[in-house]
Amino acid sequence: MRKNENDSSDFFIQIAGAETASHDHASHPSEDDLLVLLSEDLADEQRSRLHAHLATCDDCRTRWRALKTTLAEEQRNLEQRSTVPSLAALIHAGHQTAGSSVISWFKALFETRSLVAVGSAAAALVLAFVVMIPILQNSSQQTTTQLQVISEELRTLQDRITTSGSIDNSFLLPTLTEASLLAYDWEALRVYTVRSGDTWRSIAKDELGNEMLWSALWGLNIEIAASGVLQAGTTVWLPTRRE
Amino acid sequence: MTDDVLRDERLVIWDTLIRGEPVLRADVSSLILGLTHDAPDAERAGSVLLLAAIRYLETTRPSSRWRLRAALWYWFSQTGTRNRSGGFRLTQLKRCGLADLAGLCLTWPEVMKVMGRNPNDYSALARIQIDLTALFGEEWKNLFGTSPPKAMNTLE
Repeated sequence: MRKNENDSSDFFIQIAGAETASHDHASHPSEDDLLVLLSEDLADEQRSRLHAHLATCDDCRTRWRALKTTLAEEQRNLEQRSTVPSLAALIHAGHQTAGSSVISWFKALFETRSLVAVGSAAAALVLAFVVMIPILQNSSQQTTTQLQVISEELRTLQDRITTSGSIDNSFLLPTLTEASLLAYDWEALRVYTVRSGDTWRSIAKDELGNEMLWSALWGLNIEIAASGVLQAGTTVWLPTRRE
Repeated sequence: MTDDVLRDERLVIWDTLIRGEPVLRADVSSLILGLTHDAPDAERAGSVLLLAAIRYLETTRPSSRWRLRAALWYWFSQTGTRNRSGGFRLTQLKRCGLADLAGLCLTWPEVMKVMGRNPNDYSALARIQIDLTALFGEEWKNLFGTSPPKAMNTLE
């Protein structure tokens, strides 16, 4: 079938080509019209009319594509400026190797976790103070000892947070390492068809041999992941194992 | 209506089908009526294929109708000058229109991938081509009383 794919489709492709052949138009859409079309904020019939025009008007199609490219670049720039850019955007940007993109994404994610840890530590300090008031009033020796222990733990926690300029290893997920990410080529992708009962974690475990890679898969397939539903029959991208 | 105006109207309907939205047979029939007595065969072929596509949707099980949309993506993506610049991503094609497709030169596996189907299932393309060819022939004969052309190069 592959060999004859084009032969047997020729007739229909020729009709499609004749239908979309360029011709002169009495009027053309403005920049505003094209922007509204790109924003997808148009009624279906208006949208179809603009597409029909663009399909048969080379000049307008060129203008529309330039606008589309500019907007896509702007969107990519915005994604790169955000604290935790999408993994898919990093991979498609192609400015870094796939492996380092993935690592950067995870580092950014873990830095966010550090912020959460700072917040938690502050909350713990407040909670400890409130709980300690009645105990302080008793002034028992045992309470003093407990206080010293708790203070020491809090000091250690604060030190760990403030001295960890990069990633504190204790925040790393147990089996997700740089090596396990780099074991796969995140640009040479293959297709996997989701089966009933699959989850991102089960796919990572069964297909990649490491269930902790689920979050990387999730990021790689962000368009599908964002829908929140992983339906059987859906095809998703998987990385290929490096030689 | 001039040929170009008729063709633009047909393209609006093609775009609607490409987006997988319903089309009324009456809308297509009025375009057929607009064909002039001496309309060139290429013009007739576009209208008849549109009619055949509508009939395919009317006579095919709902679970098989996606094949028409897939085939339209494939055929219309082969039109125009090849152009895949501008941050092309397959996953963004789910809501594509005619102008998005022109010049993409999608392969059948790519179309199937976007459709969420088995990329290696070429039988779906074969099936829709057989069905549409038959319907095209019937509609052509009903309208013009002659056998349909076998290829576009015999239409002019």
